[in-house]
Amino acid sequence: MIESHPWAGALLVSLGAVGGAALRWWLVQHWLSPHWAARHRRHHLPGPPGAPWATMTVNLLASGVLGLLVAWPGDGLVLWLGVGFAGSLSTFSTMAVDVVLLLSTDHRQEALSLAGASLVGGYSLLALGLRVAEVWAP
Amino acid sequence: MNPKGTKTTAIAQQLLLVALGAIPGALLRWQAAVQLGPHFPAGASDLLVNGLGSLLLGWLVAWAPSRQGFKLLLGVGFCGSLTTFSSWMLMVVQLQQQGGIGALLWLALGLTVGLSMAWLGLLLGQRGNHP
Repeated sequence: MIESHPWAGALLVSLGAVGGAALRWWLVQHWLSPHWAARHRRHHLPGPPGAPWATMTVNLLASGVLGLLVAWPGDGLVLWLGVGFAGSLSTFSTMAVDVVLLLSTDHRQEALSLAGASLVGGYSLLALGLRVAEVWAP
Repeated sequence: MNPKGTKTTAIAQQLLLVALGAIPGALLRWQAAVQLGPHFPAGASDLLVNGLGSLLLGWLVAWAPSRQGFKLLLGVGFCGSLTTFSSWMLMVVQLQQQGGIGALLWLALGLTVGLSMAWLGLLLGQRGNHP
């Protein structure tokens, strides 16, 4: 099996990570941020316009994907799509910095909304992914 | 080169920087889980990489706000892939299914570590920016 080769794990994680990180950047930069950019500027929020809510959306998407994958059999698939792809598609550091920047510029309500929506949404989508996989698992 | 070709080249360069940062980030996160897994409770390695990544990104955002290439490579690529939101959420859901307050505690611990490290990173970066 490919998984048993010493370098195969690193290759699978790397391949997934490139896809996940590139997709995250692409979605945030070119697709999602513009939806919140005007609101971001209007409220004089810190950071790139629209990016915090765009990153949250990608994190929710990745949580759903990981939920679907957990029950799937095969170590190779978990390394490639779980650790590599979903792990790199989602990010924690950007959310943490976004929340701290909002708090430090006195946008307390916005910080609370962003953190709250991330947690509630991430939890719900991950649980939903697990449920769907339970029903349709091979 | 025509404007469309220039734009495509710029996007390809940016994607390359993101990918170059993402590979070591994800490999470190994976190896942290492999090496620490047998010795620590499940999820401990995610807490560690999320804390480290938040510290580094906070520092980067405050220290180099205008260096785009640097931010793509180290911020979006490396820190973005080193840290993970989905694995943290998976742990929370699994703890919730076991019952008790473990899930809430894990949620609170992850937030506390992540936010304080990001805050510390921002402080350190600002200090470096204004000596």
